[in-house]
Amino acid sequence: MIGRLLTELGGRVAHADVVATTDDTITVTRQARTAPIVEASTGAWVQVRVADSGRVGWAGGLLTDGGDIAAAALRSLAVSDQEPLLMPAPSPLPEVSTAAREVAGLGSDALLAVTESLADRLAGVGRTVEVWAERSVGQVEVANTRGVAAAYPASLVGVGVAVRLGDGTEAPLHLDLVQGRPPREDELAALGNEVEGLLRPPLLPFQPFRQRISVWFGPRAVRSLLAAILARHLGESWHPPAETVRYDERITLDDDPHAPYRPGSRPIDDDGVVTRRIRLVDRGRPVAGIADLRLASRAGRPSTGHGYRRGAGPPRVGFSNLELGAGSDHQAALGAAAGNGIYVPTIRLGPAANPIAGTFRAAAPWAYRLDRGEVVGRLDGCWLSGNVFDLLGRLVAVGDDRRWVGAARVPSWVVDGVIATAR
Amino acid sequence: MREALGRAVQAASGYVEVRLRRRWSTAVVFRKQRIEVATEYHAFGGVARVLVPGHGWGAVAFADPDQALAAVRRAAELSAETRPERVIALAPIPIRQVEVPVDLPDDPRLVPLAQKREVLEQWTAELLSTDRRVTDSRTSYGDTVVETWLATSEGVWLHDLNAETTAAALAIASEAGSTDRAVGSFAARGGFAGIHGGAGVFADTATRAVDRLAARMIAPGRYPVVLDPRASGGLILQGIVNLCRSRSRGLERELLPLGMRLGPEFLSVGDDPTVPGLRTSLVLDDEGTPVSHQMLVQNGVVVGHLHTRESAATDAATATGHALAPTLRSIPMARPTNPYLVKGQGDLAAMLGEVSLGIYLTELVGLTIEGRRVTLVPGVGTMIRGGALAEPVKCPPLSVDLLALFGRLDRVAGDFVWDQGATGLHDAGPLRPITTGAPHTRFLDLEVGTLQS
Repeated sequence: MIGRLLTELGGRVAHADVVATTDDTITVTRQARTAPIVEASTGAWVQVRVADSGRVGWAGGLLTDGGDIAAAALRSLAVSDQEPLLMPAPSPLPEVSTAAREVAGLGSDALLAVTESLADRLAGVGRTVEVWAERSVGQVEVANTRGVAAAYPASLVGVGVAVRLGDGTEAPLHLDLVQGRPPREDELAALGNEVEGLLRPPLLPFQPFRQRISVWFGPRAVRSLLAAILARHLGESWHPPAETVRYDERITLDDDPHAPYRPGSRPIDDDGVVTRRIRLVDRGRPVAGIADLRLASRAGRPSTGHGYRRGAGPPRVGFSNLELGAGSDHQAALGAAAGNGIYVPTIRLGPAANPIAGTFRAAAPWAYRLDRGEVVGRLDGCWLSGNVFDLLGRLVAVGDDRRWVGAARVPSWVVDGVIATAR
Repeated sequence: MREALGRAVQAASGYVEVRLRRRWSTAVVFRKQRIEVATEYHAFGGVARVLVPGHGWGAVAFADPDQALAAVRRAAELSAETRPERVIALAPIPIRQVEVPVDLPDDPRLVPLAQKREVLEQWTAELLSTDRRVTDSRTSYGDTVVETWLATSEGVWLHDLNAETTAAALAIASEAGSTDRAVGSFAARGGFAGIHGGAGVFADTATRAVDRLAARMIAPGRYPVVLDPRASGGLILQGIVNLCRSRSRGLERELLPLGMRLGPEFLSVGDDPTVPGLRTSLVLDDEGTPVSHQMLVQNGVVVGHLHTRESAATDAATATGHALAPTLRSIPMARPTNPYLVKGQGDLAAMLGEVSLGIYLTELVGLTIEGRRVTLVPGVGTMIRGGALAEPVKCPPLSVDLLALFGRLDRVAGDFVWDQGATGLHDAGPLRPITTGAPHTRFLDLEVGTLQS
């Protein structure tokens, strides 16, 4: 289908490229008060881009409407401004494990069994538990009139748990596991253990406090903190930083599209640019940003292979898989560094008027008081605030516990001087 | 189509529902005066949902109308695989067949893309020329036409066509190393001509961004806070209506229980999908239930919830007609349409006149709820001094317990308006448009800025 589209467009414009994706997803959701739901969906989408006389146009939609979409792309071209865009020529593709064959074999029965098993295990008095499991398989096909023609399979499996305690006035605990291959028994058991471990400590009596304190951020929480750093490396936000911009030298951050079986793994991006591992932060020094073909063309530099163009959605720049450098501090050392501070295994950063500024204020309903590095109970009404970039200058420990959280491999951090409040 | 869907909904036992939706859209986006996006797209989404007696839900999303029959059969298989802990029931509804004429006057699909670009280009130029301190902007035009077909095994039939146009602006102003921004939006139901109602949004957004440059950070303390109708509507949506949606999936929200006192006697909140002319008004919801006006809070007490048929049956309530699918291919869940705060008395001048020192907020950049904790992120603030509006101020996020917040609601004005902006519902998944309606409101003694100091 996309070969025919390209052939037709090739006779009408100087250059064209096409991204076609297919998807076959099954999702199972189990929860306390409503019926279990099994959903299946299939679809095939295409996005067409045309370039001629210094102009670029695009359109997207269902693959079966390919002819109409090509016509819409030509109309888009006609009203666009002058813009440089040089489509890439073919290059050898790296070998990347993007899909596991077993995922296609995961049916609704297997997903139902996973959700039932986890829901049964986590059920308890005073708990409302929801468990979901999803598997998705598909294919991505990229081609252009310069000869790029590549395709790769994709698969993803996710299992997630949400638990709410008591009368429901607190935020629920959310934990999940997302990867490109089916989770092993031990990985599912670890997810259950992680949930149980966070539910077990008693809720401490509410005591108002406000202090600057050491906080041990677990890998899931560190992933949330990364958002502010990443915003500075994304597309047009990236400017080669002044020499004065430095994080702690224990921070090294890579974008790695070649990590096997991760959500962002792929050999080629949706612009037809071959992907590669990129160092974003080298021992505390920001060194590179990411761009897609369009932004890179405007800036007169090569694309980094981070273009996403899916269906009717507008083209965007996005990271693939992130790897934050591990430290050497084991659990006891992390506890010692945190002392009588707070352990925060997971956090959702609140709304920020400007994420690039790095300021945050976030409720931490799942925060734990430490006594000489040991959890003694869960805090009631805890809020954390500060500036992510300030925190990066007050890193006191980096864990050797690096693990995958979706598309990011991150360790624990212990940071001094975080503003913690309960009132 | 009616015959084909009629056959499909008879292809399985139990309750069967098939919804098809086709959407045609246009998007034009400018970054300053450079065009970023100018494109059209159309999409199709079908969903077949089956509840086999004694089992849970099976649902299949598909992308080709000819797959409806096969999707129903597959959904029935999936339903049969589930083992619910209790019998699932659906609240009874009146069965209606609704066929809305699909002739669309001033159909935006027939307006050339170049004409849409021209309109936005002109408004963008007006925005950028408002003041020399406007240094950057992002502006957008959009239109959407949606055709829906819905059939159920109980005999419901719906075929309708709706269109809307939207415009939005982000203006960034800079001077002497200081940068600030403002956003504005407009949405109208109907054909292309409706977009011209949004012409004023662009220059107004630029002016607000420039005005903010002079703003200083407010001194931490406790203040009376007056919200304009848009901010009041946003707060009502997120802080009350969102917590009165029966749970369909996800533990993000815990329902505010019926009978709970939430605020003072003059706090009454409802959701009315039947308001004529609003772009989010409906006849039937996505389960085929006729929509109804629902009071959620009456005289300060929670009196109702928005229901799907399943949640209504579970709670021994009546289906309210608020089962709405957020995307083309998703299953319905309880969602608001036109939530509103019942008007009180007086106007803004009267409300301000009683405040010797306070804050007037005209824009909320964000509003989140974690458990019962509400966090409002103000976009624009103005000090109130001696009963009148004074200098612009920057205001850090306000974080308040939900009950404490509405317990401090002191006045609701009589100047009710429906917001013509493009409001969404902050929830997992894609946004679905919502129209909020509210007058000015005033809250006493809110803590501002002390968590940051």
